[in-house]
Amino acid sequence: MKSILVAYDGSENSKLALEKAIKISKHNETAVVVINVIPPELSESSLSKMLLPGIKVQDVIRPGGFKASATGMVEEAVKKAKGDGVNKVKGIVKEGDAADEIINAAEKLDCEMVILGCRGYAKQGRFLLGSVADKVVRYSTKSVLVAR
Amino acid sequence: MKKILVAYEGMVQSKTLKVAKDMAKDAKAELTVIRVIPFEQAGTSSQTEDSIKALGVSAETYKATRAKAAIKKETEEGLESIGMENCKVLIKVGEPASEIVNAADEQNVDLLIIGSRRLAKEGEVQLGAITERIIRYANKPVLVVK
Repeated sequence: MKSILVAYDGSENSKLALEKAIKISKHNETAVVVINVIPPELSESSLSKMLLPGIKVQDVIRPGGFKASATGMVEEAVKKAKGDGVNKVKGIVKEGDAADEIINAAEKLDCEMVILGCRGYAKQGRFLLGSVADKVVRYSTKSVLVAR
Repeated sequence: MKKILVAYEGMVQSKTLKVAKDMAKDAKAELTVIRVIPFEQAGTSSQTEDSIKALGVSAETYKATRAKAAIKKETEEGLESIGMENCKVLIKVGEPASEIVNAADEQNVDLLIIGSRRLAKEGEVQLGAITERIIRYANKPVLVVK
């Protein structure tokens, strides 16, 4: 069974992406996978310690805080999809470069299509296409739907 | 989803068309196929400049109209051969990216489907210039088929 991967970061455009995925999935009963990626500088990896040498990340944020909120956000999206009548839906949270993780996840799941918003939290009208969307469209070997 | 527009570049066996056909069928959407003839290819007439002038139209318009009719026929036949005779065919003359973006707006489509034109260089995927421009400037959701 093929699936659709939706990149979800809570922004308006990613909500559009989720809606599009729900619509398509309802038509042909494909599974939906919601992905959220935590940037490396916010996760508690050794890399973030390298980027912020003077600050102990653990002192500033509560342990696992970003992961917990990301998981919460993805769960909300999953709930919405379920509520809208999509049966097979799951959420995943990854850490790393957003575009890379989306491309890798699409590859790993061998999904039919990747759906993402045209930009995330960038200022309105500043870019026509966000950097993550641009990178995914360019380098993904799977079909990509850019929601607007 | 009510309306889907798919860009067609003259190959009936393309995956883009197949994806569009399947999606339109699943969603019970109205499918429109658009084909854009670049200006430089629009002139296929052997008529001389003077004889065209006698008709009261500019040489460019004359050639474009002739090419348009011929390509529309060819496109319709191509689509019929793969069982897509029910979709609307739209032929435009001009710059492909802007014609496709404008058509998507005019028809107020819910989804625009385009191909990615892959250059087979060992696992590397490169987007065509037209594809890239459409993704950037379209006001409608765009599906890039790979």
